[in-house]
Amino acid sequence: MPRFPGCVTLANMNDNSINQHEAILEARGLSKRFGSGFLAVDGVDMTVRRGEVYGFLGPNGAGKTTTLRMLVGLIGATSGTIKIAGHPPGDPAGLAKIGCLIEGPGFYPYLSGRHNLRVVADLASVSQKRVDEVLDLIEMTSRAGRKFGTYSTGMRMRIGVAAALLKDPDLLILDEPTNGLDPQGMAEMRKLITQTGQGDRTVLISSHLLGEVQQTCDRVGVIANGKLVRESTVEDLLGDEGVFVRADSSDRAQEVLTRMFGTAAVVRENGHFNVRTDPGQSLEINRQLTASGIGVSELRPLDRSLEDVFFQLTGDKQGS
Amino acid sequence: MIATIKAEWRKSRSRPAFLLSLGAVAAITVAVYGFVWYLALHPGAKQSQGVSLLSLYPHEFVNNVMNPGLFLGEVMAVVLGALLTGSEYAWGTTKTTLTQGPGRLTNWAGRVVVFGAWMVVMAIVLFTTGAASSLIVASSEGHGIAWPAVQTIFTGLGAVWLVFMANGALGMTLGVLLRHSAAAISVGLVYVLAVELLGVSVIGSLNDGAYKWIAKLFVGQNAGALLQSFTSPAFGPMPAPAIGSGQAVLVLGAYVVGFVVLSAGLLRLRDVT
Repeated sequence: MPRFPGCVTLANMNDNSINQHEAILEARGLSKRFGSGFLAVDGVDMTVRRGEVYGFLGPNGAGKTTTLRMLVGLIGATSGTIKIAGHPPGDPAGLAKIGCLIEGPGFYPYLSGRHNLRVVADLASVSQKRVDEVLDLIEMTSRAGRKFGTYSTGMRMRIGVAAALLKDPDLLILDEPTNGLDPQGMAEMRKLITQTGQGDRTVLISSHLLGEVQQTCDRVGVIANGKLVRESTVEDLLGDEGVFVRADSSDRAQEVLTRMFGTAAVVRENGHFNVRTDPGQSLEINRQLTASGIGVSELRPLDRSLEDVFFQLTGDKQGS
Repeated sequence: MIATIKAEWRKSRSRPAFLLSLGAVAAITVAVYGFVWYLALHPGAKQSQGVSLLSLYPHEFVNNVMNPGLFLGEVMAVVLGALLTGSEYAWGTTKTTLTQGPGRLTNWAGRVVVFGAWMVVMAIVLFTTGAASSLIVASSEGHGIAWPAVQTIFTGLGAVWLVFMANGALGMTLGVLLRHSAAAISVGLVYVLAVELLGVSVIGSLNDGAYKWIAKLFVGQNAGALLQSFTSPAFGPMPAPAIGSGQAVLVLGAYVVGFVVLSAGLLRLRDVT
């Protein structure tokens, strides 16, 4: 599974530390109803384990940011419980272990990037020396003297991530860190997140950019219409391996494939077949189909993306 | 709370609005001195009746800066208070601040302390500029230099600071309440420059003045009465203030505490969206 280099995968969690099974964030029955009566988050149960990179997925307006705001105590939950970094949300002792960038970076436009970080360092009771360290980490040292108000969106995001990293937090929460960035900015931010996610740090990223999450996360939670519709590893979410087959005669090809793998393993859709089997069977599939006089125009491992799964999960839910 | 005070001071000491306000305080004080000096030297002018050069000399500078002090208290302190709290919402810095560690009330307490410190600086600039202007007038007119008693200077500073704080606390509360600096400034200025004056006038005229006691509870009335209590024969005959200085101090102090507590409650209970 593609992921952050240096991050702890579920596969090797047992080898690293027993603490990595420990939840650093647990939310149970979390709901938020705003004054207007709108139920933004509805009974979310969510667990983020220490050391993992957790992707929080959902379409715009699904309740991602509202959930994250509740986790850090910016807004109160209507019902449910939260334990984050061992403390209730908003507790100073818990916040001391959390770095977050929620709904875009918020800084003083008349201060420089460095000066803004110094203000945050004061608030977090962090040494001013750390400011230069994080500026170096986000490669903003040379531009840190410019006023924040003159920064591009990408530079603002970098300063936001730098502020989140000042405390060297156990848990880093990043809400849509690539929002508004151009492709180059997105690539740079992905690289930055890759660096920051190394080691034992837990990272919770909210995003609707699925390729990004698929590349970077160990586990994901999918939220739609305020409800957490799935929480699992990326591998589990993507499902079993398979082979994509496109052949001349669909009906005859289905007969052959069904004979080979059984009815349940063959799904016919839009003129092609998704066959649940080891991609190593591709050669045998080609041989059997051609032996039956069926031309094969496309044969490749089934590459089921997170996007496919996401739309399946959220599309059904959104539509209901 | 030390952490929040450090952070608040670090960000506000570079804030253009605060630095400009100090310049404005100095400029307005010099302008007032210059205008009164002109009137005193031109006795034929209609407005110059009762204006004495004596009121411009160093011995009277504390009493003399009370006029610009009242204007600055009613306008600039409201604007600065509203800016300090309201713009935090527009810039999204409230969420940044509240996720760093110190609790909401600690953050608020630090902000109030630093705002109070700025009001001290503003009062000192007012007094320093007034003293310097009076020195220039006295030197130019060949008058001897005599300063007021130290106690008078500190009492005056305290009175001006209290007026600044009461109006500033109003601005800060509006900023928190409306979560928008422009709206808070607008509402604050409309209140101190129009609504309060109209309110006092209307309430005072109701039922042959039976409700004048209510009018005496307004911020502006108490601020005016407190600063008006700083006078001397050099300023000519002045009507006695309708509110005693002791009562004015208590009422203004109650406003400061009330606004600060109200804002703290709003910050503590409301969601940061």
